[in-house]
Amino acid sequence: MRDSVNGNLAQLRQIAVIGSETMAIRTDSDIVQARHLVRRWSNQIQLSLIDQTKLVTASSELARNAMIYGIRDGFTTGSGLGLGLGGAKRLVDEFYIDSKVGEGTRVTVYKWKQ
Amino acid sequence: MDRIPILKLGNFLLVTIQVDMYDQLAITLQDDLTSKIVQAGAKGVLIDISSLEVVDSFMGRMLANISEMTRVLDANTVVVGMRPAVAITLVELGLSLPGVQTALSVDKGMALLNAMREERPSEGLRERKPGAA
Amino acid sequence: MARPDSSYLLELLNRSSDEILRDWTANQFRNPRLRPELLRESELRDQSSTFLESLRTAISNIEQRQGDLTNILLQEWNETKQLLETISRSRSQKGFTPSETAGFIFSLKQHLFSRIRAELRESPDQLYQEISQANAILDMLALFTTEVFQRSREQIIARQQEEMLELSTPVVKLWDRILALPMIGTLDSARTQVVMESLLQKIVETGSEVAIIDITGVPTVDTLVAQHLLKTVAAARLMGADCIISGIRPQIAQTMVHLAVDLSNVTTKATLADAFLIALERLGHVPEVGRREEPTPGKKLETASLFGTPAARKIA
Repeated sequence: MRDSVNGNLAQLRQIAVIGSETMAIRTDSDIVQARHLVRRWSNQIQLSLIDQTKLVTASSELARNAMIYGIRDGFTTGSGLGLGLGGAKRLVDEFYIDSKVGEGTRVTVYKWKQ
Repeated sequence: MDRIPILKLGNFLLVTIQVDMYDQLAITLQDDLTSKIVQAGAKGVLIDISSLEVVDSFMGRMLANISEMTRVLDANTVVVGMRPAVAITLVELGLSLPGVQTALSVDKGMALLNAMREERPSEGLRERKPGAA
Repeated sequence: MARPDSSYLLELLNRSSDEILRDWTANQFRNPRLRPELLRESELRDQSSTFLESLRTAISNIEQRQGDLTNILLQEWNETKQLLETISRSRSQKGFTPSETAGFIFSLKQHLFSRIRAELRESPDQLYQEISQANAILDMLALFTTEVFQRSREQIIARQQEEMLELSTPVVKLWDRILALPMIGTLDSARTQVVMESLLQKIVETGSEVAIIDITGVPTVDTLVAQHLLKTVAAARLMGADCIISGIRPQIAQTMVHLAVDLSNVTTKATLADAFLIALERLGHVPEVGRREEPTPGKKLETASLFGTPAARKIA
């Protein structure tokens, strides 16, 4: 999945970016699209089936969260980002959430290939 | 609008989900099922998810909702054919769906539905002993 | 503002890519050390031209932001690295050794160097710089291909180990629709996970509605393993199968209770045989015979009840 880490971290872990896409998630078919993207990429790097399923499901949770919690005016307001993220967290190896007032919230997840 | 087809199988309804589920589709399915159960007088619903590669929390909750709703309508629901990767993921999400009956295949699901029908007769009603006050 | 020496290489590549490609592929065909017989001509040409192209692009991108060309961790190299990974894997499948695959990249050197030498004949210092740098870049990329080779070999070994693990913990078909998984030895989290996944897979493959997980041969169980067990039971149920855990020794029973592992929804039995009997009953094979009261799912957990013996029935 596309990462948002700074250059130093990328260097330490040799992250190879195979794809990057920015989508607006406004309708539930956008969620499906997001799932397809993640499915395609995780297939490309040959994640195991179980890991693929977990990652795609986590993406679905995150995408739905984004849809519900505030892309109305482009920003997330308050601490509405509670539901669904707990589950997604358990499905991935690393989970980072970064909220800036007035700028929105960025959630970054990692699933490492075994 | 897309709809998932609901087939009548004797006393039961069969739903085979083969497409990637999106929220609206799931909601429509719920509505369609409830009306069809009443309309057909169905006593059971089989939901075949053996083609689904992903079931997220929304879909999981929908399955639980459908189970609950059908119970209220005097019918049972059995979810059939969940894939291992999907099951593992749902458990990890914290959704072990305790109220949902499950079976490995449509055949076994039907057997379960039949067995559940047989156990039902006087449930909820107090037993009346002959001669008792 | 580009540094003078790096822009020469890029400029050379931009100018003479076609000729370099032509000479390079011709050489690869001729050189038996590079095993041309293992590849189709079109493949070789493809690999070479794509590599050259990505080399050009990467160098151009890095120079644009004045990065260090000999740093393979720069993200501008990602496309080239991916390409080399693909080439390395495909070649290893065809029977190339790591050196032969690295040779693919090394063989490009002479075509670059001969041109650099011819063009910069008059300026030995620059000549030296250019060749040094081009050399460093190609070495770096060649080393990368051997690394990929190594990594893919490690992956194969890891996969073989997994398969051995599965073999050492076979899932056994006890009866029609009943599977047994006798676990032996100390369980670690990774192994438990692999084994559990394989059990779920076997459940689907055989259509078995009951799976007995027997841990008689397991001396200790920690929280992580206990959690995996429980998750497996829950996952199997979602799929439509029931799990029975048998062979819980006294120490493990105590550990589980102390760790507050919630076994209230799990059927447990003292022995595999007991579990088998229950499984048969559940599937309607054997009529209920008069027997001691057995723990059933939903009953509150008592340490003693894990053994199913009335004599030991007291609250711990």
